[in-house]
Amino acid sequence: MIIKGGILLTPFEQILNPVITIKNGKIVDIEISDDVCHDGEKIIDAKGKYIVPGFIDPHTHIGIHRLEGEGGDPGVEIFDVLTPHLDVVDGLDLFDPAFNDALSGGITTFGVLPGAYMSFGPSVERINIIAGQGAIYKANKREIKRRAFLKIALGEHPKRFLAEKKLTPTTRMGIMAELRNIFTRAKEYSTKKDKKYDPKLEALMAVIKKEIPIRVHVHTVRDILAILRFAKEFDLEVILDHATEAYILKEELKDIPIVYGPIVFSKRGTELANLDSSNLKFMKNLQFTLTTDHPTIPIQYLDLLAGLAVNEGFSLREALALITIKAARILGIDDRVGSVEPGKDADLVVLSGKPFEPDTQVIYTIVDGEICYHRGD
Amino acid sequence: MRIKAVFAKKIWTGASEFVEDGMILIEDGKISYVGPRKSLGSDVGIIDAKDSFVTPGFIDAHSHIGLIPEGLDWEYSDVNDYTGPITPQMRAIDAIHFHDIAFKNAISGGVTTVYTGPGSANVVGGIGLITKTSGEIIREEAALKMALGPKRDRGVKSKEPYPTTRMGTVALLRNLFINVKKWMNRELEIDDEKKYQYEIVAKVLKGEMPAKIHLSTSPDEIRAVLALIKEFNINASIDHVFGGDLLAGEIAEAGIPVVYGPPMIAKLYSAFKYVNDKIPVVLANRGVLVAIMTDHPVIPQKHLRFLASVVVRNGLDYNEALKMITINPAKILEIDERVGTLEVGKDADIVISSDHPLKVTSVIERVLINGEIVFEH
Repeated sequence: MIIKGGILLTPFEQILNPVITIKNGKIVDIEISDDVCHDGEKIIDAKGKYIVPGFIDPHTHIGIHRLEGEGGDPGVEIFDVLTPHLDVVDGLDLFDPAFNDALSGGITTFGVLPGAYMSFGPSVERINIIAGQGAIYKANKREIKRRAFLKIALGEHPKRFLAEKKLTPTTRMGIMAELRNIFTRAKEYSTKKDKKYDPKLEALMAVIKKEIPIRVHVHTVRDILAILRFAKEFDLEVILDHATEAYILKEELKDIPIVYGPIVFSKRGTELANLDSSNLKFMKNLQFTLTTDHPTIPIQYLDLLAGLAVNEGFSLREALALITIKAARILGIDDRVGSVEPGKDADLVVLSGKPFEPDTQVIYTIVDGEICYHRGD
Repeated sequence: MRIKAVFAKKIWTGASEFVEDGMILIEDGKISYVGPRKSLGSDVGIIDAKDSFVTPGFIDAHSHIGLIPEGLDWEYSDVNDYTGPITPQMRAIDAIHFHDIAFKNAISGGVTTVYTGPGSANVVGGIGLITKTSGEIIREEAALKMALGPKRDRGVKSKEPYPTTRMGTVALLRNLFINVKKWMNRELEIDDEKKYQYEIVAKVLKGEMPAKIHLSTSPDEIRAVLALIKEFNINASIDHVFGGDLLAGEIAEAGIPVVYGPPMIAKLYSAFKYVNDKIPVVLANRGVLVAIMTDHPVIPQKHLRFLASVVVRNGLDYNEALKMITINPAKILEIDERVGTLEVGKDADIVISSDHPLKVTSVIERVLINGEIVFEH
């Protein structure tokens, strides 16, 4: 397949009249030309249009949190607070319409996390201290990585959930004590010779060996600092998710990957008091990316959230990086996706106009070199 | 008398075509002139918006701002009182927290006038008010909130039982209206406590106060309520209206205005099956008067224009979507003699943006309420 013409916009460059050659699902060549013969190949004419890398959302609950009619699954075990042995893929619903919604919005890759965050009233907020292991999927339903990270949550949500279920712990101290307890046991387990199989500790081995990161649901400064201390103590790779008050901790967080947001979201409760899309203007030097937290914000609106970054002083390309290459780096898959370069997966989006504007429509979404979405005129 | 003039490259008045290179004169907080630039006396204060885009202040026709204050917990939250299913005696004016930081944030998003009122827990929830975000109350008794829904019994020990079916909810409302009519015609004796409620409901039945009816679950709910509105000849808006696209013809024929949204709402419940952000587009194309809500705090009020952008993404013209947060809500709230457009005699509530305000990347530069600058970027 060949995509020809228009403007190729990536986090690194802008190319007029590109000719992008795709073979076996990969990008093989990018030329600049307006006159190339392509015998017998499928050609997409992008004249007057923008070509961008497929968008990436590192934090969604696609496939694990579908509540349209029957088949809803909160993605959280409710009778145990530490469930590192759960694998989100075991509960994944590949018929969730959100896969198609993602394609229609140009999102080609996303992280799927257990432990959904629910927004309307305390009675439905459910979250565990350790929810389980997440995965990375493409919107064409292909799995990129299973057991890719471990989801942990701190702060108001596990506190409230546990208190409602009459479970313990119910304080921040108690939550950290639970974590310290299980990770201490996991460290011992990792070196023990004669050991009784323990599914939970077994599940923590990849984390202890730093093969996969912990991804931690935090909002406030105190929870962010608590998990940084913890990660240092146990020598863990850490990614912060939501991280509402990260903008306050510019020094402490300069090397910590952050999945920020969703930046447009209900600010109920005290923990989200400082949530504001305008925080982005203080975050230029942080390693962060944006998220919809689908279903919190429907996945197809990811690019509009990136548009708000432009509103806060990011250039078009910097904003694009937030939902492409930076997201790929945070997920550890930037060798495959996140930009348009020879050798990378052919995940591309053809837009009717400039990215991030509401009247710009996705014309084609191409995943692994195949047209997975096409908007007719 | 202090006179101010706003110069701008583009003025979208909401009432006519754009005024290019135009001028707005403000005298005593009211607009006294809109049109081409003309020579002014030296005592006139000039606000030069240069190449920017001038529009009326934005209006949110459905929110709970000040009743669920931002960043504060339940102690400050006063939106649903579970005294019983029929509580017309609840008044937003008795609970509103004008120190809610959300008002300041709303102003920074160009929102100048809002409706805020009781929630949807009760079948008749109480009386909402209309206020400027700067704190000037426009109308204390703006509308009587009513709500349908799948199940209203929250297990609270109330004086009267809550209905648990749609039939029960509609029957309760119908019964109430019939009894109030009988009482108005002196065909029914009631005790003083009921009288206190009936006097308020009577205002709705006499057309002195509109009803604001929450419909969020299904097209059938909408059908039932349209019949009720017709039977009792009530002045009403229907709000949320998920599933309204499937009943567009009936809504258009009934001539009932719609406050849709919030767009981009999370589909967290199976009861949100009919959420669809194309609804405002479908209804507007059928000639229905449509406004967009934030339902603050569901989406922070400052993002009202972002939600209108979401409607543009779903297929509506920029300026039609802009009407959904300016003149349309003004008409629905019956305050269009004061706000909603930039016309002579109206309040000088003005938003100055770097580009069309519904472009996600445009920046709100200045906001005026009653001719006073209340926000500067």
